[in-house]
Amino acid sequence: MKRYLLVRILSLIPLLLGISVLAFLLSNLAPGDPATVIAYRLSDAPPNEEQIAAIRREYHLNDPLPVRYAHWIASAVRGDLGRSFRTKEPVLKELAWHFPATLQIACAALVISLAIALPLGVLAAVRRGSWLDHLARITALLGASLPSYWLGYLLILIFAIALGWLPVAGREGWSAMILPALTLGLGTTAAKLARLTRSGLLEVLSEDFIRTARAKGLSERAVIWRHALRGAMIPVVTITGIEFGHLLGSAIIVETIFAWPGVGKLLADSIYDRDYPMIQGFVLVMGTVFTVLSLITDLLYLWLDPRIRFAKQRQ
Amino acid sequence: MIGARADDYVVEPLKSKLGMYPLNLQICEPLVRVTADYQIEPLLATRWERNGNTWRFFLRPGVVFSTGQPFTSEAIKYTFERMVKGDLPGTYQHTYIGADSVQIVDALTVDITPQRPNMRLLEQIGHSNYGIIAPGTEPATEPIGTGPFKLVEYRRGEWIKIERNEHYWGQRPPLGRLTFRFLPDDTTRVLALQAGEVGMILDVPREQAGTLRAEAGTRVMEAPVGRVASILLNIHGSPPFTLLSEKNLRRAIALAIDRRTLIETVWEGNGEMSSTIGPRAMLGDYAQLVRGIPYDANQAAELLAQAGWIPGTDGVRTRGGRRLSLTLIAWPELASATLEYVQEQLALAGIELRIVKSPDMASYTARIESGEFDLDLEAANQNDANPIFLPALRFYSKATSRTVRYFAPGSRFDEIVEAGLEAAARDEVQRRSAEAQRTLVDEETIVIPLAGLKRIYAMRDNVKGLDPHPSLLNQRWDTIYIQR
Amino acid sequence: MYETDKTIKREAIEDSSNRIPTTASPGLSRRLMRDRTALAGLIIVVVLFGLAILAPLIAPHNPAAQYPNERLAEPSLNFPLGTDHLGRCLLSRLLYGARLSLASAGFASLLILAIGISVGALAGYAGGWVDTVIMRVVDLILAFPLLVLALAITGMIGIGMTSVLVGIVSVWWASYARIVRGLVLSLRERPFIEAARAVGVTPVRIITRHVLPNIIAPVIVLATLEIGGLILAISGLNFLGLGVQPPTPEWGAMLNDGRPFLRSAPQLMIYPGVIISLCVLGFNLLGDGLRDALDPHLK
Repeated sequence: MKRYLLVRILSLIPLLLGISVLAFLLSNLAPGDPATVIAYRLSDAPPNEEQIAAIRREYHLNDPLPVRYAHWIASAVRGDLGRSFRTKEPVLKELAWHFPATLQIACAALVISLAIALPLGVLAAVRRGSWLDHLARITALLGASLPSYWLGYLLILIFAIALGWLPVAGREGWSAMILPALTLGLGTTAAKLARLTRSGLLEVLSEDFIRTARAKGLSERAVIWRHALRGAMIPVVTITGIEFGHLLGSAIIVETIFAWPGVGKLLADSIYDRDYPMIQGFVLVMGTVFTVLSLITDLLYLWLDPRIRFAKQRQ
Repeated sequence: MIGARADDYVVEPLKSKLGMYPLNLQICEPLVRVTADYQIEPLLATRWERNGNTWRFFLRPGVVFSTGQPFTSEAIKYTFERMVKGDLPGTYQHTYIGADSVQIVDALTVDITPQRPNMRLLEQIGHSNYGIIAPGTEPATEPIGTGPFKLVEYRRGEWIKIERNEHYWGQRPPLGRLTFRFLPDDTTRVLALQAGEVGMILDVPREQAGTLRAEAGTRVMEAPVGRVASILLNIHGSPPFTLLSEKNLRRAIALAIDRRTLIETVWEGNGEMSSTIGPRAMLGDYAQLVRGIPYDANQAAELLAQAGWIPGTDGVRTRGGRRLSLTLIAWPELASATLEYVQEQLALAGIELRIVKSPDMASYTARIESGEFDLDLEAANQNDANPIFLPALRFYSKATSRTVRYFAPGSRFDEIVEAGLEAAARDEVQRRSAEAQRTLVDEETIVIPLAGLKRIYAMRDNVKGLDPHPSLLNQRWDTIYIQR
Repeated sequence: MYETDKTIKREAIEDSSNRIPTTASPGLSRRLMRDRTALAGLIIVVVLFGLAILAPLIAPHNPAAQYPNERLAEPSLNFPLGTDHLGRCLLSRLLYGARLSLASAGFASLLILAIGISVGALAGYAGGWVDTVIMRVVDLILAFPLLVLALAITGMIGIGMTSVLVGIVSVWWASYARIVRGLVLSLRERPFIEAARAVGVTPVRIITRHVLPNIIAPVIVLATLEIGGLILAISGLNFLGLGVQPPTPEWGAMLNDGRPFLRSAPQLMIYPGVIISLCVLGFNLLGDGLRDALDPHLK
């Protein structure tokens, strides 16, 4: 067990390195000249050669690629990811500053997803084959079929404009997060989790120990809630971890629609402005976050499973 | 609460223009002010004189900064020196102000001597970039000025809050507090107004102005034309962008675009026919010198046929085996609908237009500087009062801009511009500018003005007092009040 | 339920959540026909394909033709779904948009399958360091949410439908590779494969004649399930303005164009949204049904 842990953590290193290379290469193989865009942003009139050259010097845009990568990775390890071209703030600080917002709606979205998916999945499994099962399946699939950028505007139209209950955009007040979270939560994640719950529950329900429990005379409800669900939850829990990572990523479109100041919007703005340090930093940091997340879900699964197996054996 | 566009503030020390540019919140004031019809009026300077290349400004007495610190010529010196030190590209270069250009004569008098002769200095320093800051302060962290407002809080990407400056020398602004929220997405901004979350919004997109006008409880106001959306033609291109070196083709393109329909339908009437490349008001009486080319699809067809362009089977004209295909690039902020309209108009004339949309200024700039285009759609801002600003900036062959080489008409044009730059009287400058524009628009058809753009503001009915200014940088907020 | 001959890994869970049975039980098409939701999905897909193919014949107008004086018009005989902000016929644009969306999604899908299957089969069959290296790359790509990476790539290369497809294909193949590898791995130890190897059949032949035919069914199911997500991703990137250039009609781009008219003419946003959702739903229903039909025990 400990050895496995060690191996997994060590294997993170080449992965993280790969991520850093990817991040670095990504933003540098693009056409266009960042020096020019900065010069433009700082003045009214089109800048001339000298000004652009000065900016190039200042941002070290003249050095060869491997040299720049080496510099970048060296400072990255120390926590210095450079400064955003756009805002001149340290990249890490910007990411840290924007991350809580994304985290907020991603968590809320996850809660919403689970709140929809679990009952739906259980219902579908328990009433398997019936019209309820079909309805649940179709509802879940429907949610996965709606484009988030469409759903978002639909929700705005209904709840913010027509009904006036919720704010249109921005992050002022606690009610501002409801629509973005809803838009995120009603998508693919809910569908996946519902399907997983259903199939997981069905598999567990067909196992021996369930039959034993039923034979012992336990009510159907007790069978499901006390025994089956626990076993079925393992895959759900682990996939939730991964889906959370994906939610963080899908937030990019939702944040743009709702002017929600999270990392997704930060990335979109940075791509728009060819803000290389920010893009590199984002890819590196978020890549690391997701990788760590997968590690945690792996370990979680490991931790959960022997316990369950153990519990099963005892029965 | 006011809904503004994206947060474009730079907060790096020495370079920062927080509260000044590109959204001017009247925290700092420049020496003079540019009015809505592009005249200069006194602000922090009550009068001025010029002796040769030296401009002497007499400062307003009794003014203090928002901290209570007295306003003296020290502040002027500090402001300009910081600008030179920060080496801000482009902002001050065309004023030719250098490190020792500012001389203090006494506490309320200051001399400014640009490093090169500059007759247009007065018109240029009305720009908000030259807002005077308190000596020793750094706007990146704390902008301190003499204006009617002072900064309360700035939260990156979310909002900037200002409140009334109790020490202000001028008329007390009615509103005690203003918050500008950054809502870059056009649709979101409009929705925010409709939902009542903000009292006023800036930069209403043209397509939505009509809806807002018709809505009860909201009011729409327009500023006079502040910029003109125009197509610039690449006359000195390298292959394959060489087609537009022919004047007849350029003229035919101008004839083929129905501008009136564009304004009335696609823009829902939110635009103005314009023959000039900048706001008409800049040219004063001389604006009539620039006639513009009317819409005449038949004449366009004739010109093209005469030049040997015969319609092909798919509608696109060809000549000697070559398709009449042109490439259009555009400023990212200009609506795609306008581009598509132009595309279709040219298609009806038998010209195939390939639109290359740029997602950002970087790729647009790369494209235009490399010369890989035929047509360029933009809408340059006129933020100071210098009538010959645009011709000198983009078409004068000795300008420092990197795109001049594609558009420069030649030496005769250059002479007109130089005369304008060196003229002392505003009247003379306007005349020269008009002559220059006539060359560009009527004679050489290097620029096809499409329509004048007016800034559109929308607000709730109880928000009053706004006096829309064609230039956002010179927009005043200190006249707004809320009616109970 | 869990592969006992491997260390317990998250992969096992992921694969089981996407679990595709490796063998097809008899009576497949019959079961499919009886599954009404899958049938509905099939009908939707077929109808959309039909519309797309017949677009030039049934579209009332040229999708690029503008009638500015009739912009934002209500549905009429001339314009069955009304017009957009430039006076273009919405129905015609939706029909031609179908061609583009289905064609590009189909093309991308084929590329993704080709790459994913080749790489996955190679990794699964060869094993050893080849497997490790390939899986490292796959892990690297899958370390990110796919849309983010695709967005970054597309945004970097420059806009255009080609960039969108490049961005998406270069990222999407990874999950296929992972699954195909898993399938190949489980097949590799089967007696008939061992026999073939023992007899001396070349690896290439083994893969093409024996392995691939056995995994093709589950892979097709997977592809059908994924194509919905592919359509969403492609139109998503177009929505962000990174895809087609005017005047080419594309559903996601049409949604973006309609944003300023959310209140005054919401139909500009509603129609493309509805048809995207319908299209994706169709594929999802079909894919779901295919999966269940393939192995009824899963149902």
